Amino acid sequence: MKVNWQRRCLVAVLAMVGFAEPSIPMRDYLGEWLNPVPDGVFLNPADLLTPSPFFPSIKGGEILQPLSPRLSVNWGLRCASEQRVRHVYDQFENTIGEAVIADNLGFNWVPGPVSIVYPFQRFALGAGLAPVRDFHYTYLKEYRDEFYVKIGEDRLEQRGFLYSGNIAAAVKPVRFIALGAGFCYAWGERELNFQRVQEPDTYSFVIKSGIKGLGWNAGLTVAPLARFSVGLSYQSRLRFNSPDSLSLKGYPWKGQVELNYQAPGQLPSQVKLVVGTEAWAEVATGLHNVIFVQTTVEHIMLNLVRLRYGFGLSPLCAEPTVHRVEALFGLGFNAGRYRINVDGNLNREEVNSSDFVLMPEPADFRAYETGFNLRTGVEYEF
Amino acid sequence: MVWAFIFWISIFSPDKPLDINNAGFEEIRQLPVDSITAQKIYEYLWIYGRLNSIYDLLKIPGITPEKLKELKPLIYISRRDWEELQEENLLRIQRRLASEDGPSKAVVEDWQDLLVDPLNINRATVDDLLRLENVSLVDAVAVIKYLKGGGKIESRRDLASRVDGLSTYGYRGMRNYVSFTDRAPRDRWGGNYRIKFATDPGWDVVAEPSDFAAALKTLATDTAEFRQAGYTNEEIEFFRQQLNTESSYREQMRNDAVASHRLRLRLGEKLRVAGWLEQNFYEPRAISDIKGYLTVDGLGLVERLLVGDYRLALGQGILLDNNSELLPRVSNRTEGLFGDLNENPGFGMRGAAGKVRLGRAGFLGFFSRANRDAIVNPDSSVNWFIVSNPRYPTFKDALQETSTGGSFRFDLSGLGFLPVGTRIGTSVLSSQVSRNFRPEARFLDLPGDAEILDDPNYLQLDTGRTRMFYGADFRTAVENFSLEGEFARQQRGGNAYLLKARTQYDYLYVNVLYRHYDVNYVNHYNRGYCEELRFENTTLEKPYRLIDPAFAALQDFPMPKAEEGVMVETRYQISRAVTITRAYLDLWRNLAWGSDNCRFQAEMEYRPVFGVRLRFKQKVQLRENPKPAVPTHSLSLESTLRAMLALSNWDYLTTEVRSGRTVLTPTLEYNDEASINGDFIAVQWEHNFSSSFNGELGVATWRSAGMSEWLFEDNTIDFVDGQGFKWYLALTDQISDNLLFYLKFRHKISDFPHTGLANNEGVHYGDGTPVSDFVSRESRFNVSLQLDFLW
Repeated sequence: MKVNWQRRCLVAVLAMVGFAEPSIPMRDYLGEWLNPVPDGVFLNPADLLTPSPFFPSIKGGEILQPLSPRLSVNWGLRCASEQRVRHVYDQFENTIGEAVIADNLGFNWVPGPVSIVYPFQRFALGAGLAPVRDFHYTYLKEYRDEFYVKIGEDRLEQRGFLYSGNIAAAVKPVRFIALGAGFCYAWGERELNFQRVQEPDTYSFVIKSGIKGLGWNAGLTVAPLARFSVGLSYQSRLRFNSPDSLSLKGYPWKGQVELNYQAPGQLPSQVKLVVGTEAWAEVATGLHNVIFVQTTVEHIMLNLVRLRYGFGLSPLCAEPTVHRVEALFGLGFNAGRYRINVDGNLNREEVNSSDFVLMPEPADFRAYETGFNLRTGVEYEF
Repeated sequence: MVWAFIFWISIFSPDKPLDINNAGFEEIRQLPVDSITAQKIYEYLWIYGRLNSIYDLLKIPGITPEKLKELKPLIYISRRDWEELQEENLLRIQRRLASEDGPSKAVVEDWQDLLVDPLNINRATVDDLLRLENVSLVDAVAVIKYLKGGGKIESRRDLASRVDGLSTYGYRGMRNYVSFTDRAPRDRWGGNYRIKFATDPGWDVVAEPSDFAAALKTLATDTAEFRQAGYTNEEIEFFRQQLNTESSYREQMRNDAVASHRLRLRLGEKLRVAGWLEQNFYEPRAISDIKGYLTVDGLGLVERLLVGDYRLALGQGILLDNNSELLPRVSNRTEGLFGDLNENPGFGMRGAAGKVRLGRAGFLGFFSRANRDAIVNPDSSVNWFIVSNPRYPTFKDALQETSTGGSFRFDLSGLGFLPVGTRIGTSVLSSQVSRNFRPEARFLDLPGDAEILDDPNYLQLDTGRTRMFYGADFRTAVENFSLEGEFARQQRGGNAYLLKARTQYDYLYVNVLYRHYDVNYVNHYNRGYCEELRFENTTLEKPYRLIDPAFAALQDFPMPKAEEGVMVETRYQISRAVTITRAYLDLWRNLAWGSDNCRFQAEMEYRPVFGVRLRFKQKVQLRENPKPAVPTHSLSLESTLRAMLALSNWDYLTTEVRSGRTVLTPTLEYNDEASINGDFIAVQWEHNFSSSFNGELGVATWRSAGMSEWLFEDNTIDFVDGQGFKWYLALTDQISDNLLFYLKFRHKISDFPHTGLANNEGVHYGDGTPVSDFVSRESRFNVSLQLDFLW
């Protein structure tokens, strides 16, 4: 089993209070990336100069800029379920199944992002506020005696967001190239509550930590051919200038390439392929750099409705052999100057025991995580 | 100003209205609309590609009915030419073919080529036509007889109406792949690139890490029993190391994703080059497997020359068909030599092969040297081949096989009294392997347990390194009747023979098939018609009865069981409303044990009104299961009701209900259980968002007590067990003329209740903690993606 500094720190802290279990999956401990929108404000500033919706963003090798300022307000819901199981063996040591030992489901709201984009001439400015990492995690296990009478429980809850305030600017020096750069200020709080009610070992504790940091991002979008564009973006490592009590010093840099292709037809579509990397190995030993892929298709239907679907694939930074697979769905509706978007993504994967930051589990232990994110937003064009 | 006026006059003179679909922005600006509306028209054309009707203009903001009336005389909508419409049809069929990429479909690649460069039916031979989808010998001969009689086929209508004896199915199978004149190839070169990604690679028999752990534990705790059974310490150590290797490999496979890339290039009419590579994400190597081939067609006397990986199927497939899987109860096969980019390595051939035609005579020769997966014995000999998915490192490329052989065919059409389509042929196959074969049950079967591996289908596998097979085949067709057959003999072994007769009418066909495979006819390239696979229903199906649970993959080994039997099959459209879609009766004997079996299945379709189809299917199977003392019997009954409704032009709803039950001879082994059963209900809704974008949503729930069921899911078959629920969403999207996109999500939950364990002391967790009643849940979320880029 890999041992990394985060786990050692956390284990040391928790060992002081006599804490042995339950474990927190590494991903939930580090927080879940929330993919704030629009990309122009939070990821690739060059995209400030591409209008939303996408048509006709690229015409004859030219990037068309949005015609008017836009305000976007979003609200989301995150649902995460974790199921822990153990193998069951018969008298001949053959596996006869997996018994569920804990099954948890947690919900939390995700407020934001909020953003505004203001284009003029060959320039555009953007500003936004978004929760970029979600630390919410819930684990509950009840202990029962042979008569199914409850005799105790473990209750662990982690809460908090990492927020990011971004400003970005973009310029289009020639008609098929857009450049952009931006800054972000990130802050947030993580609060871990644990309570064990089990006679005679009843105890509880709270760990709170604040996070603050600065970062920057830059991007380039090129439309070399009609209906086709390439975007490159870089988000710097986010350095926390006030490390939290668990000594988490930052989040890794992220770079990605985005290919866009617009296809005409009865149901015109835009195909987007994103390939990117996150350098987790720089953040801590025991973590690995990951390469992720995402592809989406968006169709215009009935001239007013947009249907999106796609899938994403990203290895876990703690255990790159475990790939997280996401299903992506979305709908958009135009109503005058308003545009309403509803997007969701679904994932499920098996988590290795090495993906947990706390005590090693029994060898026959396995955990499955299921996640569902739903986001709804309103965009207004002035 | 004057020039602008002249320009306007020249464009919008009543004689020459504007082709709006091909107009530039400046030309649209010249129409009597304001600049914003002109911009909107241009944007509409940019987004949607074209206006299909002049009334599409009304969808554009700013175009009122009055404005449309004003514009009508000034513009026109260009019609799509025949080539363009054909292209659309071609893409639709290509999209369908792209979804039919199973190992048995090597011929699909030939069909894809024929879509682009169709076969001139007026120059076709019987063999050319038999390559096409669902074309029977009677169909092919009917066309050739018509042509030999001086007829000429100039259109699809001619093909459908003038050719006597051509069935509707045969016509449908031919129409998309044939032309009626010699045409210059449309493209000098073309091809396609495909990327596939799947988190559910479709492993057939996969042992869990805990199964390996259990096998290792058995090896450790029962060492004395192993020694008593004659195993040496070295042999026990060999098995221990093998299990450890497989266990570690299996541990890595938690990430079960697989990605593959395939590139095919068509260089003119004659040359094809293709390559394929696969990456298993659970393997450290960047490339897990690679294949490729080059073919040259129609080079003088040479019909086809192929270098690289290939598939070869001769006659009825009892002497040689190197398909990696064998589907029971399937009698149709496509004979020929094809490039092989199939994902399952199985018995793929690698080397060179060629077909030469000299008048009525046809020669085929081949040479292959390829690695094969096999079970290795402790003494380094080989127990038997294995086709396992996943390919454990202990099996992978365990030996090298050199295969050589050839066939000679002579066309007797029209010689004397012999009818058109008559052909005789002989074939020979030699197989030499780099390791000695020594199939010994003691190296597979766990000693001292309740069952022993005593099935002659295994015990009579042959030894040594070299095998030789000889064969002869024939075919003929008279009017609407055809007869085909093949005989094969193994040197120092047994015989195999198959006879197939068919008679067909417009709305009816009847197939009768007789086959016989001796127990000592051991040909790993035999893919002849059968009811059961060679090791099916033997101890080799039970991983817990084997020293290594991974050996259980032998149950899917693609070779028929030694059997003899007669099968009668029919399809009959009684009226427009009622059709027997398929009915067959198969009576066969397991030659290894002399046990007799019977299977009957019939499906009837009823169309009460247009858009509604109801199908009822009934299966009855009576089997005699060989046992050392007294054979047991089983009676299986399965009833299926399927309703297919066209809710609109864009929506199709299919519902299916099945109930199955098998009655067994009560045995102690199964706690005197006298029957097992399984039921399911499934609903599929297919919606066509447009002619190029299709979505299918399916849900199913099932409940089984020991009897697994199968059901269709999109373009695959899924097996279900326990109690459960699943949903899937499959999206097929032809994004542009060049880009096809297929994405599927699937979530399947199966519950397996384990009850009555309260007094069972033996059931426990890994650390020894006892376990009471529990429900074991399997929950799998899978994604499959396929992108095809065609040009």
